[in-house]
Amino acid sequence: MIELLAPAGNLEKLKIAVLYGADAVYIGGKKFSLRARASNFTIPDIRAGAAFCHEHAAKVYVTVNIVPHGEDFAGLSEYLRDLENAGVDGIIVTSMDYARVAKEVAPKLELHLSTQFSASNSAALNFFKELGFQRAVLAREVGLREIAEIRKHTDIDLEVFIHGGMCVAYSGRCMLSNHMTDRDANRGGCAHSCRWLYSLRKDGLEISDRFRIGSKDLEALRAVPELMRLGVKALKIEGRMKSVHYIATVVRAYRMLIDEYLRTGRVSDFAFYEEELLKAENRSACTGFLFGSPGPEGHLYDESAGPSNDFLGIVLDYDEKTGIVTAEQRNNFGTGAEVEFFGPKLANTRFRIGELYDGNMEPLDVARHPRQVVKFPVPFKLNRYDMFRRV
Amino acid sequence: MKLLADLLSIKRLKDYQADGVIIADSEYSCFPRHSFTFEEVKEIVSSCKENHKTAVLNIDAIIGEDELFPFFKKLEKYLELGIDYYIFGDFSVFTFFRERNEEERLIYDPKTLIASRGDAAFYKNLGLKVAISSELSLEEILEVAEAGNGMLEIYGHHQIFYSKRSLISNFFEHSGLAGISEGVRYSLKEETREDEYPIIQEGRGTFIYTSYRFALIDELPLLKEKLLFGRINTAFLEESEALQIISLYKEALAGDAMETKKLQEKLVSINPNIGRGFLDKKSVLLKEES
Repeated sequence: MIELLAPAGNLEKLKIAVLYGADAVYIGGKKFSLRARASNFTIPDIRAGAAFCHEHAAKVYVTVNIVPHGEDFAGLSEYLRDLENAGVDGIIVTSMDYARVAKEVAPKLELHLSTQFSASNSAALNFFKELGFQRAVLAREVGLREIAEIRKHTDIDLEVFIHGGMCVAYSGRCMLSNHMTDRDANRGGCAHSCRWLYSLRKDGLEISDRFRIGSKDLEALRAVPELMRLGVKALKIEGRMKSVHYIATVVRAYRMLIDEYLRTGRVSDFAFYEEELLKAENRSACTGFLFGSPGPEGHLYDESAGPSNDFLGIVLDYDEKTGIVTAEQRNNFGTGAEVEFFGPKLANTRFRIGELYDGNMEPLDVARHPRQVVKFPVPFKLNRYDMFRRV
Repeated sequence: MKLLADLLSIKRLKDYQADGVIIADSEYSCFPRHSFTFEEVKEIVSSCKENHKTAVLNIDAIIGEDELFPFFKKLEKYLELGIDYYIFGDFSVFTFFRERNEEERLIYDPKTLIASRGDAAFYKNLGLKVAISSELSLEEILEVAEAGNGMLEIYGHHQIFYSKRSLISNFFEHSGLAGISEGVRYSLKEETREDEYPIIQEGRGTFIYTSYRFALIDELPLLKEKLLFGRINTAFLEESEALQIISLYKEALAGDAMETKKLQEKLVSINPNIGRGFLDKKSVLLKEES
């Protein structure tokens, strides 16, 4: 069965990812992990996260994917043992010496080869299987045609990125951030220098002052059926630093698409899923290398994409007797706002907010304060972790 | 330490004072602008043998699945030439050489991944030599070098970015600009910074290099006994100046009491745009609490 693999930057996001349909989540610990700015998990958080995942028949993997310097080995063995004891299913690794240590001290942990290794062919993949890796995250530069060929020549589990931010370089082969800002991308400090504005010059003369090299985000909805047919093991969503709304929306869209394909053998309307994904974030997307090398359409040249403020709140409780929902505000909204509720078991349902109250049932016109607890009547049943957004 | 230098032309091969030359394969190397066909490589290797120089083939590209068959075919042909070492960046190369018990000829150069003694030692156990990352402090380089299988770039523009995409031609197409995109050295200047970074698009993709030429000088006496190879990366150098620089390093390495100050003065006189990279500093890790 294909695995939908989602990112989680903290325990709340982990729960959201699983409830909204992820078969597995990947998280970072406080050490040894890229995405140093993500909230990241303590060992007790990881234990709680693993327990939650396993209660919901999901798996949890931990990124141990930095390119370590000498100082990054201190405490490694103990940390890996802690992960194993916390119930983690596997780790994602770039360093071969980290993998060696893991096999020695925490043999129950599955080893997954990080995309930082840029694995792109079956010969290399077979070697990593021999080393004890159960799974490899393919380089984002590998297309569908190549994946089909790779699948014929190796039986290591393949994981493929289907959604989210894309390095424009081979992952693990970019030092721009480090050389420009002293922030080491291969140890979690990426400054996203590839997204900056540059002047392109030749022999001292400026050719353009609008030169950019950054990639648009990946959106591979239309490749998912083929990836499933090819026997890819896991479909990976990028974005451990994304919001709960982003995770819920993206995971749910891919979950619905995968389930439709499994149920019917086809996808009837890709546009529906594309519209769903557009509700997650204001960033234009491309299909990366999946259908061939990206041309100009694969780059961020003129756009200044920003986060959406359409996510309005998350349901904390619903009283079926009174029909009153208790919710936590995430962006300003007020009476008269037309909103769309959605959830793991709730199809998109639109509704105009009439009355609005604070937590003590004092009337409000607008919910202004971040994470303010509010109440309002809704004429259909809601559940904890359902969300609502602006229409 | 053996001194290796990337070869820029066959014509002046005999003028390279290094212990060996690195020959970029025309299809499977990422070295910019100066690469060689199989027949040219054959001629170069033959000449190296006559002159008792080490011949190193650069095949450091990441290899796609659809390239494996022709790539391995070419490697079969290369094996017949008696090339001393191969610099590679993709593990398909290792599997090919291991099947033939020739893995001792391999130098693994992933640019970033060899940053600890533990990783260097792991690859040594596979029979591999490794290119030490250019993102390390002197202290860290010394520690990695202890594994005993290291090569280090000691001079030149480090390659700091490797993309499979055609970044220059894509931008030209987007902007409606006319210009040659392939094989031409352009430079990048970020809007708030002064440094200019060489960028070049070639058959394997687009590559960016450090704005300065890294130069290991004062630390040479310390490192020359610990490293197997010191590499002079001649990317974007005029061949005449590359030859001067190679000679200076060769001379400095040969002397018992190395005069690094003299070496520094001469290198600066050839080109003052030299830098020390990360030798004196450590990268910043953005922890959550910062």
